[in-house]
Amino acid sequence: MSDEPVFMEDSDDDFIRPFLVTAGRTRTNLTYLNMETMVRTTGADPSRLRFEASQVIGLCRGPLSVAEISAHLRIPLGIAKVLVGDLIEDGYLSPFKTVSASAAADINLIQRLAAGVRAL
Amino acid sequence: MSNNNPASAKFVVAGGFGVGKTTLVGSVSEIDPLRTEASMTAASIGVDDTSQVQTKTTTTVAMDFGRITIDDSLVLYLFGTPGQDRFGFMWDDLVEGALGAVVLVDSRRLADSFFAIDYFEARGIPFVVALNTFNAEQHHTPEEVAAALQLRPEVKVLTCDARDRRTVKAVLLALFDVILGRMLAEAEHLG
Ligand SMILES: Nc1nc2c(ncn2[C@@H]2O[C@H](COP(=O)(O)OP(=O)(O)O)[C@@H](O)[C@H]2O)c(=O)[nH]1
Ligand SMILES: [Mg+2]
Repeated sequence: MSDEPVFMEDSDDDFIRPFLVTAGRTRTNLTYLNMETMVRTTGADPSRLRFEASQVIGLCRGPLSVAEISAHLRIPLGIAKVLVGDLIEDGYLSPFKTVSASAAADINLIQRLAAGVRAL
Repeated sequence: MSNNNPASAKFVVAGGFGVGKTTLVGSVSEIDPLRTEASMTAASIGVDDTSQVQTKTTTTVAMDFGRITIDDSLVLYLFGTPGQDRFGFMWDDLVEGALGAVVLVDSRRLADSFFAIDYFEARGIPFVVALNTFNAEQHHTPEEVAAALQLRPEVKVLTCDARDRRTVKAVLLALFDVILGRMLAEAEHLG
């Protein structure tokens, strides 16, 4: 498969859709939210949620990354981030830790990651 | 599931188009590489900038990624970056939070890797250079490539076959060595 960029002439449908699900926003306020950040449902009643928001909840009974949510629901990464950010802020999802090389406290986690890769 | 809260980490795999990024990710991933899209339109239109909503052309860059579940509370994701340097402006978002990077190189097209190397060097992101051998069609040694790329002496260059899990594992472990070495040195410096 090619990862060459595709210049798409959008149909109006494709173009409008992302702006509906995120109310036009393209950035989340949650600066810690990366594409590898995993989230899981909190158990809050999702019956009020619609469209992609409820699909995200359906996917996240177990921990799943923003990137996986984006791939499974076929929504662009930027939009998935906004959506997940909203669901965290509204109490439907809780985010998990991302391991950081700039946090000395994470060295044990990084050693565990390395050991896991060695054992593959 | 254990009671442990899960944590995740990210490596990025960068390099020119066709250098073997997707193949490398697939060699160690437990899932077939998943594909997602980063859309330039979504990234470039501001909240209040309604005038640009009229724009009809969207640039969409596909990126794929794999997953290595280390144990029930730890996951390593591997993301292939879009290969073209003219999409470098999208990298900040993609690379944000990465533990480190693999720059995959085809020695017949060294220039394709300049952008990635400059990018990671400028931001102090730990990286290793992996020379994809393409069935030993590569005519250059790691030493020759390091010289041609004007790499700093501490930058590790390894050969690998992107299709071979064993060699890809060795590349990832070399990257872990760089990351852990740096963390230990910093801890020593502070302590
Ligand atoms: N012979 C050989 N072919 C490879 C190797 N790595 C990748 N390829 C092939 O090169 C092509 C491009 O690889 P791909 O992973 O899609 O490159 P990407 O554009 O960087 O993601 C594919 O047809 C692969 O099967 C390798 O180590 N040896
Ligand atoms: Mg690819």
